[in-house]
Amino acid sequence: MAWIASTLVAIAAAVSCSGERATLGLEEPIRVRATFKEGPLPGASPTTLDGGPAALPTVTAYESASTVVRPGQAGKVLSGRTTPGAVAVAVRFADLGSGYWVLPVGGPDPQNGGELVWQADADFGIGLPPGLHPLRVVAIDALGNAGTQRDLGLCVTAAIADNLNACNPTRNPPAAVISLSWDVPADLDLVVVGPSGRVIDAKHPRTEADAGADAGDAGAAVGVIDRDSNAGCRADGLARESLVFQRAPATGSYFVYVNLFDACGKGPAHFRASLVEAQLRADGVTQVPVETLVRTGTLLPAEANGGARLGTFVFEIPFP
Amino acid sequence: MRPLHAVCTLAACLILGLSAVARADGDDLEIPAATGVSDAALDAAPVTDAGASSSAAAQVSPAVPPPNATFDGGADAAAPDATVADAAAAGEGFVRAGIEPSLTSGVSGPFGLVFSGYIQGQFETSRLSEDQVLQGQVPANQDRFLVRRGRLRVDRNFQWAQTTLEIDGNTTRGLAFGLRRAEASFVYRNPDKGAPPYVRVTAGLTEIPFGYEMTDSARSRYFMERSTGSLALFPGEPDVGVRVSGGISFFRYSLAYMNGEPVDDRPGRSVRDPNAAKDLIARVGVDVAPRPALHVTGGVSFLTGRGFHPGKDATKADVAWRDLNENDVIDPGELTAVPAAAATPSESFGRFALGADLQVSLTTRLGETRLYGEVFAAQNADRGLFVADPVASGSNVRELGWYLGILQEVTRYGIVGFRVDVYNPDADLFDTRVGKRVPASATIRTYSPLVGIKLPDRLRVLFQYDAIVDSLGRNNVGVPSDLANDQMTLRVQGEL
Repeated sequence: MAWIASTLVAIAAAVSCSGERATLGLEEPIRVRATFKEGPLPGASPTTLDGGPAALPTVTAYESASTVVRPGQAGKVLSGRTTPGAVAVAVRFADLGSGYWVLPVGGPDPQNGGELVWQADADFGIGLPPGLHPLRVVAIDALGNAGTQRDLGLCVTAAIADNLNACNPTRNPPAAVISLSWDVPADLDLVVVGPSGRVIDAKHPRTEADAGADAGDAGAAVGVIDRDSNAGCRADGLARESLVFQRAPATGSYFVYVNLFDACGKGPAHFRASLVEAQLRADGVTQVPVETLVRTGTLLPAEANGGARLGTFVFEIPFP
Repeated sequence: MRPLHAVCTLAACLILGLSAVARADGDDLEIPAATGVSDAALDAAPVTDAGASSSAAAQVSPAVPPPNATFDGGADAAAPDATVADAAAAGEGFVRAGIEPSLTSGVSGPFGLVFSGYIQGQFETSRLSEDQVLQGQVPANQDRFLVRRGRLRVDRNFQWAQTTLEIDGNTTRGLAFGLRRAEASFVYRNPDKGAPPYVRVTAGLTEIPFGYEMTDSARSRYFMERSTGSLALFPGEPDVGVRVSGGISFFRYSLAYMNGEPVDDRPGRSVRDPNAAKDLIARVGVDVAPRPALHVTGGVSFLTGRGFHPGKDATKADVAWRDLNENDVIDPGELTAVPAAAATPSESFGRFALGADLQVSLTTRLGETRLYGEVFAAQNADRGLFVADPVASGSNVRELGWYLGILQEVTRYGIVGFRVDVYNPDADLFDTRVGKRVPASATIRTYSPLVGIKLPDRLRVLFQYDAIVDSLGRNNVGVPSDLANDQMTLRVQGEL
């Protein structure tokens, strides 16, 4: 029996551990409807002066409707063309992730000399770090040879509004942002009671009722809640609301509450409330957003009240 | 049409060849109850329809021992328990099937009922497993413990009738309980002890008589599951309908008229028959024992019926936003009207399958050696894996498959085996390469070595590795290639 078992084990060993690994890639910063391969992107770096042998396939066009990407964004279209010798293109962030995605190229484009077209639908991770990140592609031929890589500089916005400061430090971030995020697709609301006693929430998103274009510079100090996340239990994938002050808020104390409007049939919601303020960098000129206050907590489904109460008090912010 | 031709040729050779060596006294696939006794006596000493115990079979067919009489020790095996031993000694109805050789069939209970059952608990792992959830919150983890089958069966037999009820509980796709078998039969028995009934007419949830694997009990089967092709064509073994089966001499037949919606023991699939058309399934075959230690069975099967392509519901008008410039703001030209759409009608489509099977078992001093295989060709018959829908795809889908398995007993306490099964869910598949359509293969090959130990009629511990070679992955140039999806299973099976 031992030799039979040994033979079977040998057969199993011979045929096992083969095949292409297939991962969902949900932990990757970019997900493309294609095949994921671990490791660095094949081909020569785009900074290589020598473009390599002319016979190698090349990405001749690479474009997207926008170079700004929001963390968690889905369905971003990347497209381009390759030289006719390519059979696939591979794509990954140059500085993020553990591998790349391979997708086959399509048919020839008669308007561009028979170059082969390609298109990828890309989703981006919710934890994508803000800032500039080159998204790199390379063409691959049937023998697996890759040509020179090509970059598309993407600006990844911050989860909390920063006026694209992460990509362009010369742009100042908002003076202050009170932000609330949570972990389940329930309808939580950020509720802030301002110094005047005005209640600011998703239904009343401004700190002052009529401030705006007519208010001049004073209007810029008006805080606005950016969205009603998961309103009506329609999950938006963000689960975050922020009260954004582009200029310094009016002096006084702001009382911050978190209210469970609707549990949406989910379990306890773990939330995180924070205050982010603009502070000067070392150069004394440009600003950077810094998280200065954080509180976390949990709301039970039984606390859902449909907006009948302010909710759970989180912290008080005394703006000078 | 070459595969169909091959199947027909194989079937013809099988019947002609085996007929020449057929012997009537080898008919021991099923052993009826003590023939000629009254219903009252049968009521007091019921039998199952599963066949005969080693002891009973040895008594009724001394010239030719049942094919598996020594598979687990056969007549020499210790009686599983007092109740069973008493029943067997009295020549009463503790029975078991020829195809279910190693396991106790049941225990006689009150009111003439016979109870039986088994539990399969296992640990399985797959190279596809990930600690993630798929869209819809379905876990992608496949490394887990589970109860694959937990079955309890009750039988009652009379002179002219037979009733069976079997329920199944498992955690394969969450905790689930369901009906596995519920059948009532009229039985016209063969007066020869050991022979199958001339006619058995069964109605209810019962076996689909196509090929060998479909009627091979999961309780006695050593390999963890049926072959890939069988699972694709038949997501579950039973279906609801009527079946006529029986045997005369070496000849075996079975004809069924069923819903055409096999009942999967794993929940999640509707079994409500969506169309009026029913499946007609039949198998004819032979069962012979040319030498005392050699047993050969085989047959040909066919299935014909109509599948169902569901229509779509009507939809209301809607507005869709496409963020063309990806600025998270609704700009002119980004709102699109989605007009209301009328419902679309459902359609039925034809499907068929044709198969042949052959099983040979040889008993030696080492133990029993069993070699068996099956081949089939089908059209639009995949209902479980790559579900065939020619209405949606625009063309008929042809499926081909076969398997070959060998099992070798190593004394009464060991078993080793190997099975290779091949399934092609679409023999006319094309792939797109650089904008051109090129022929592609969707064939899935599974190599399954198996090793196990057992306490006859009590317990089994089995380990199986499934090396799966397919074209479901993509290599580093985007071309279809083998996907790393091998899996292994360690199972413990205990008898009730």
